[in-house]
Amino acid sequence: MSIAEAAHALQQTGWATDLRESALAYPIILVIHLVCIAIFGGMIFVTNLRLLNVAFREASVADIVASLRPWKHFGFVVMVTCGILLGSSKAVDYYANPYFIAKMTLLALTGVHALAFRKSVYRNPAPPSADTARLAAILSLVLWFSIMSLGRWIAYYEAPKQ
Amino acid sequence: MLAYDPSTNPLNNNEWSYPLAECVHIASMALSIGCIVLVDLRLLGLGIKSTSAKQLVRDTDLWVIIGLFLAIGTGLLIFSTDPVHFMENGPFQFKMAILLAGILYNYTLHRSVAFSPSGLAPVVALVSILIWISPIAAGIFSAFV
Repeated sequence: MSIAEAAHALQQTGWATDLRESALAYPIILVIHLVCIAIFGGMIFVTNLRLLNVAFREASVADIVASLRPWKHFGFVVMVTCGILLGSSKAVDYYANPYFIAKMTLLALTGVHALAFRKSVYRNPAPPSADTARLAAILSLVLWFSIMSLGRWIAYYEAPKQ
Repeated sequence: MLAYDPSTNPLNNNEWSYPLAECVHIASMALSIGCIVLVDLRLLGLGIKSTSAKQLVRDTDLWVIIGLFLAIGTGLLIFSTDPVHFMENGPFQFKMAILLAGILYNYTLHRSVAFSPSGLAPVVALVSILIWISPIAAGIFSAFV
């Protein structure tokens, strides 16, 4: 089975068809996706502002990271679930959309980012070095802004006519 | 008669500018709403518990302002691409009303409760979260009607 056939099969499942054709379900799932971006993306901002040492200085990095971790994990799961639902309903268009491919690639890179700074920053009980913290924060901001932007650009891409 | 012709707007004549304005709009609303919800979670006894709600308001004050400023600025740019369409759009009208209510709420009741928490704090926090989800939902629905 080619990727195109798999995408077609996915898009043709009952729930994906219902979702694509529903006047309410699709925008509602999109709203949940965006609310997650606002609340949990906001928490990514907050963590990075602390890592950049420009806000929340009275709390330690370890404290901010640990108190927001369960919320970010929860938000990530909801956001990805909505994303899978939205993407599946238009799988044929998405798999051939370069912005979608780029978005998934950067999303995978956030995992690499989390692992790379795990010991030095995110699971470090002691205050991380200022330079390492700054690097982790800037990379995180760039990655997440790019991922969100690519999501927007997916909608504007028109596949070349065959 | 409106003497303004949207087809002359650079945002309607450049492939990049409109989506870029949307991206900044989304990122800045995430900054301001994320910061406000952080205070709400604290009022509910959740999130960053080591810091008081009052201190969290002080920490996030500047970032809420920056986020609102950028979100409203880019919002005006997006609005300028098709003002007549937006003015007649029901969800957009609701979005503007709830946004105004949210800003007023944030700088009055929400702020005073965060500064001196009372038994009402959880209710004020839940109302705040509901208020701030609304402009996001209305923004999405304004594109679907």
